[in-house]
Amino acid sequence: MANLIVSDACPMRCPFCFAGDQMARSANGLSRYLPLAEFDRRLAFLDRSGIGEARLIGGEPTLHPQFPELVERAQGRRIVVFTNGLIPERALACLERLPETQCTVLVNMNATRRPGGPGAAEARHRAAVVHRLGARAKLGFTISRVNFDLDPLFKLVIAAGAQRGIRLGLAQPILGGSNEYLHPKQYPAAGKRIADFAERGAQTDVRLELDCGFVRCMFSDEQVKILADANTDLGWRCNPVLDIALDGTVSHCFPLAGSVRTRLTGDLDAAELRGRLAARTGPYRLAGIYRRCSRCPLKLQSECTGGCLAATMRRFRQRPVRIAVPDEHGQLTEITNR
Amino acid sequence: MTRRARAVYTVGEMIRWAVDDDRVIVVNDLGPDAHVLMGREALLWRFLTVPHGYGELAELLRQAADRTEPQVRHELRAILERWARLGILTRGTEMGDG
Repeated sequence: MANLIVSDACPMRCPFCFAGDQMARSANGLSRYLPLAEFDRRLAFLDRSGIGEARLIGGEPTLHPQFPELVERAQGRRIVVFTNGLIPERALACLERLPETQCTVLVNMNATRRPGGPGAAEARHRAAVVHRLGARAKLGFTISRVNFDLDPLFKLVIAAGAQRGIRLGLAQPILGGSNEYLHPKQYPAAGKRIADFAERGAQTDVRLELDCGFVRCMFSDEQVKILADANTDLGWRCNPVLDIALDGTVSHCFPLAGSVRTRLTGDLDAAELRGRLAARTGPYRLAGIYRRCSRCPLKLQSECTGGCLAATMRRFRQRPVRIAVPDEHGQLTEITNR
Repeated sequence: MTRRARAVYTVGEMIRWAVDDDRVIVVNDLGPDAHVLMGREALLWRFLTVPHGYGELAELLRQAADRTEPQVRHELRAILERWARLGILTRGTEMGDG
């Protein structure tokens, strides 16, 4: 898996956005787009890595002025587009023409221009886009607060004939950043709500899919059973995603884009890049988001990664420490300065 | 004029640590290794990074384990040397006025 960043333009101002480090806009505030020739090199990277999926991400990838050309060049691969849902007409028409089986447009349903969440007009626009995309659309939702509501999304999935899964992400902290995120202390409360919604979704054959950063202990055993019975896609994972930025920088993931990265050069393939990033983060993996993670049997048995690595790395401290020690006998060694 | 030399241990800028329930995980941000400090070493690291002076450290360790001060000072030196060998501390020498 690798995400190709094709644009750093995004009109949204989501308080939980963890792409801030990745979207290093140019000093004059102009957005940038991946040139077609560079996009071809990215596709060659996917090919030599044996990756049959072109995942276009941003910013907002559909704002790329040559978005249809990007899609055209990526033909023959499965195309996944990560979008805020407010897709320009030309790009939307292009996506509508793709076969449903070869395309997934992942619509972030709580992307917003306003701090308080999407306004009514924004929500209507997004719903209309989902209707047009039909089975090409999959709804996504980022949990940044415990009191979230998925019922409107269930209804939209059914009404629009979208894919029968809702991808749930946990808002994660940018390492060294200040975005809004769900604090691990809130995870158990979020877990209870997720289990409730999983049960409700199952009644209409809409299942939940958990993205990276979830931890097993945020759910009780009973809740895990509910999730399993609801056919939830469960995972307690955190791996290098490989986000490839406009300038060829490859980062572990958005929350770590400012600190864990390498470069796409030469003939490197995805496995080599992933290995470099994993080596860089490996020592931190001994810990997890909670103080108890490092001795947790599930983590020791690799059944749970201990949550988001960015959240884990935020637990690490750094401070200059200096200590002066007398000699073996508790006495300071005397030296005569002539 | 009389001056005195003493060992000085410093924690470098690239050293990061996380305090867990029963251990401290120490990572060199540039290096591939992590070191897990358990028991008294974890206790000492937590004291060390608060920070305390050497005398306070020795007293804290002594109180924590009911050992004599010479025993604790010996142990403390041994631990600091071990950490220096692991690369999580850097050992140097400084001169001070007697």
